[in-house]
Amino acid sequence: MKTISMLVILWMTIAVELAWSRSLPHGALVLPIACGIMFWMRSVTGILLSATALLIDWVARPGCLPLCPMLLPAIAACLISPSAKPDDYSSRRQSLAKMLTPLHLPFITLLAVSLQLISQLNLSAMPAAVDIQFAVKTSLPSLLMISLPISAGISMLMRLADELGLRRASQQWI
Amino acid sequence: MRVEESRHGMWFAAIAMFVLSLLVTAADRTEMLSVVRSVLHDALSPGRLMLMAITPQPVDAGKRMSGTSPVKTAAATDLTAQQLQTLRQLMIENAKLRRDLQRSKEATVVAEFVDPASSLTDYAMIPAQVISSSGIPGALRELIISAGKSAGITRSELVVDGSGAVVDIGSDAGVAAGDRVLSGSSVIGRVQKTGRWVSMVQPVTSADFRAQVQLLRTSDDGLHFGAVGMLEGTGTSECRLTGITYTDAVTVGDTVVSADINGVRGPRLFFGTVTSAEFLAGGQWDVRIQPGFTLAELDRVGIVRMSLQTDITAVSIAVDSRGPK
Repeated sequence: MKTISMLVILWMTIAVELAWSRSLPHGALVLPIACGIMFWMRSVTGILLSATALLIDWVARPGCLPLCPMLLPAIAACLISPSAKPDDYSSRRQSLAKMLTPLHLPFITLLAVSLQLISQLNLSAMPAAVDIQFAVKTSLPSLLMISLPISAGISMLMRLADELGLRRASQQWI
Repeated sequence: MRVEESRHGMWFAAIAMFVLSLLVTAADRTEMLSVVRSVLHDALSPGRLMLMAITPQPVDAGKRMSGTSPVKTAAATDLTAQQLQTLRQLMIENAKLRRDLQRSKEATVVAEFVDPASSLTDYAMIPAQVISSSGIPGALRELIISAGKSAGITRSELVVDGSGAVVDIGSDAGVAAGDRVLSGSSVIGRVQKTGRWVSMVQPVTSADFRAQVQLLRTSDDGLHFGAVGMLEGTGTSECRLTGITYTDAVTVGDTVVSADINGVRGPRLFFGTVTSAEFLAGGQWDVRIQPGFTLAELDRVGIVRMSLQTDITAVSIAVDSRGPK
């Protein structure tokens, strides 16, 4: 059921981006939501679903290279793969790494946006500094302005779901 | 143990997605994804169409401004004396233009009588929105537009610039009122494949694109139609003109317009401008053409649909009524 819900969310997100392609920059919705689903599900299914959605989005609106579906699953696996060491979630000890965990999702979204920008550059030749500067100045602010708040919202929603016990114990806040 | 399995599973999924992405990229480079892309867009179209249906249609900038700022509206309607005078002048010019248009229509009627076959065909432009311009932007391979079989689109129909760019010949080029001015939209490509809700467009720059075109030159004496040739895409940002005999004249700056639309005479559509014309040693022209559209402008396009007026009675009556007494 959860997989189907996530599938529908991803499908609708791509449809929204296509419908409002004039006002929404490419990836502004899909990237934070795909990253959010990876973190929410925190499983192989989540990684596969999100990466497949990103790949489908690339096939529908291709750039130079599908860097997001290529690299994001690996980055996500680094961050969300369960550790063999005992989890200190329930302990009172607060390490710095533990305190920074809510920022993982915005961080991976930022990475995804950067990959998206790189993939939109023409990489068949070495991109000129002017092109990179232009892409950063024009596309990056509009992408971040939408994707970062969404990412932060999902991050807070996950925290809330954890507090309310709406996520399974094995998927609790990382 | 379960933790280890889960971790290995995630890494396996990440590696699998990396490999799959590489395969998909390779398939895209070899243009094997065209069919999949069309199917994907069709699969996403129900959601997109649903959203577009519930989204209020965008109004033009002027209307939006007047809606959001009543103070500005009041100020705008408060016409000054100078504005009133401008309005009067515009009204006079409008009346003149209307008279010229009437004369032009009469001239067209005569032209249609000379070429009765043209009255058998009817041309309409179906608007569509560009969903995706695929490929590396510099080498536009194909476009996907939001009109498909459900809008009656069929293969090989010409796709033109939706903003209605016209052949750039006007008063600056010495054309006066009463002269026959050719106008038409800039051709972007032709429909290559149609899905239910989307169509794929083969741009004029595509290596497989071919269209019969004619050169058009502006001089002090007016417009002159030149040689008829075949416009071919080169796979780069420019096109090539072939089939021009060595006796024909070609000049840099000549306008290239359509000679026909799918083999039938129709409105002249703008293809581009001659940017280089070199006479080769073998006695042939090497003519290069810059297409008349820029990628940044491709938000909305139009598909030129030709239909046959099968109501013969109506046509014959029309011809009779237009005929010289």
